[in-house]
Amino acid sequence: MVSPRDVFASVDRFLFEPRPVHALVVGRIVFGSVLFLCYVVRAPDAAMLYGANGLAGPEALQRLVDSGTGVQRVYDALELAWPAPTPGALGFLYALLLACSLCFAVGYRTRLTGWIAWGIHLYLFKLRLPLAYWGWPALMQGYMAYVLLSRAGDYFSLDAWLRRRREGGEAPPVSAWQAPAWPLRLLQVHLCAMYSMVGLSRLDSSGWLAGHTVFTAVTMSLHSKLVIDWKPFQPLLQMATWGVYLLEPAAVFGLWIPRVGVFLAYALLAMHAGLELLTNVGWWSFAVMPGLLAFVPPRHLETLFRRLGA
Amino acid sequence: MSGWKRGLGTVLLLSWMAVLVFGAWPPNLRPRFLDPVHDLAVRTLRLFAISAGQPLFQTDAAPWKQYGYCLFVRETGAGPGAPLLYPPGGSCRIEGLHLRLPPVARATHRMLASAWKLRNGGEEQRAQMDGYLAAMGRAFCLQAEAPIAGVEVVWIWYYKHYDSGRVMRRNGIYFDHACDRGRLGEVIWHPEDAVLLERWGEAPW
Repeated sequence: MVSPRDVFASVDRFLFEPRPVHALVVGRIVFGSVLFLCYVVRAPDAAMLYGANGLAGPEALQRLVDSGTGVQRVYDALELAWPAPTPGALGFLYALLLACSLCFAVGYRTRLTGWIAWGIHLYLFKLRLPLAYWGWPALMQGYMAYVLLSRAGDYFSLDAWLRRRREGGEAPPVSAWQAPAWPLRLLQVHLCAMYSMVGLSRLDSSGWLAGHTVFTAVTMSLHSKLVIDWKPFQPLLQMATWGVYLLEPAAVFGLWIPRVGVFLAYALLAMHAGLELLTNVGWWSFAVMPGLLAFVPPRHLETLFRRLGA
Repeated sequence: MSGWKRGLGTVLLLSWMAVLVFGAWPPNLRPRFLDPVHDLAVRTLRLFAISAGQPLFQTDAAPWKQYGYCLFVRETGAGPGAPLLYPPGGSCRIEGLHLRLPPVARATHRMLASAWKLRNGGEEQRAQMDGYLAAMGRAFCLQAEAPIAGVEVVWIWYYKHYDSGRVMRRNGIYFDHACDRGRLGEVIWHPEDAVLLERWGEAPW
């Protein structure tokens, strides 16, 4: 018979027991790099996307009000919440975002630079023009917040190197990179919640059941990186559709089962790598990869970091 | 960490995890009585601009698959062969390598797709639809190097047949927008080729 005390003790261990933080360190590097690269490649379109004369600029909105459309309806339609920045402010915010996301990736003043990047990205994607994204930022905002709340900046970071230089001492061995488990648990639970929405919501979808979906994804120019005649590959794409159809729902609970979870984590990493190679859906795959690494045995990531010189 | 702090932390963490679980519970597997809990969880997540997850690639088994979209924008009344304001370079390419999808293409597609869903709605939905189209028209007005009187927008859809590989074109929308008056003009959903040719002067596809 399980007593309430046993349950409380299990929950306490689940949340607060020291756990390896390697996946969170990977998350810091990946999320910082994603923000940096995302906004570097958007820089030529920044004025059109976020600026005063852009798709949701205030002058456009004022003209709409004058023409009788009604500003609230326009704001609702564009899912806007905040006004557009002036060109100077946009340039400043943009430069600050790029600098802070890069600092976050390399672990310099990790929490400060990370929260600044998180905030400016929030302003641009959520409050200015959410229509210009594929939905990944709302997911990554959560994952990145967990990394920011963790001790991911204590290891394999510029901060750690500067501290050692200032105070002396040796870098801790990779196997000793540990911290209370709760940020890692939040990342893991959020990832499984995402797979439940993504994987379980399509169980009765006719396109998935018929095996058409991957063909549709790689055929359509709005999704595909390579629009060619995919017809000769239809049987292969059908198999891939059914594989994904089974894999993502299985992840919801399967990732928590030892051995099965490792297999699923690597299979999903391979799936996301394939998705990244073949499709244009923003930074979805990179946003979920650190979460999947949270289910990989710590020794695998320790090996990776040792090879990287940690 | 003191006992009460740890207890409070546990409650907060478990509450957040519950929000994630309820927020991500898909509608097809969710008992109806949990809908209010799901809605509350989603609203809570939105406060932090966070999503628990969203379905990607929801497709059906219909034989005609979406294949591509082309958006053409030009100055109102520009003659045949006049340079387009959009797409950059003047041509819409579907086949081939697309290393990245320009975010402007993504945003304009989402705006047009949202407007299309609202086209048969009531007064409020149609006003919102006008909001999308006018905001888009105005933005293209402001992208022109010199002031222009207005812009004309054409959106073409392409489909591919799953079994035969045949490609089909369908005209999505034609609309114009007066830049100087900031006013949305004529809006025609699914115009016939003849109507499009009459207004545009040449086939934009």
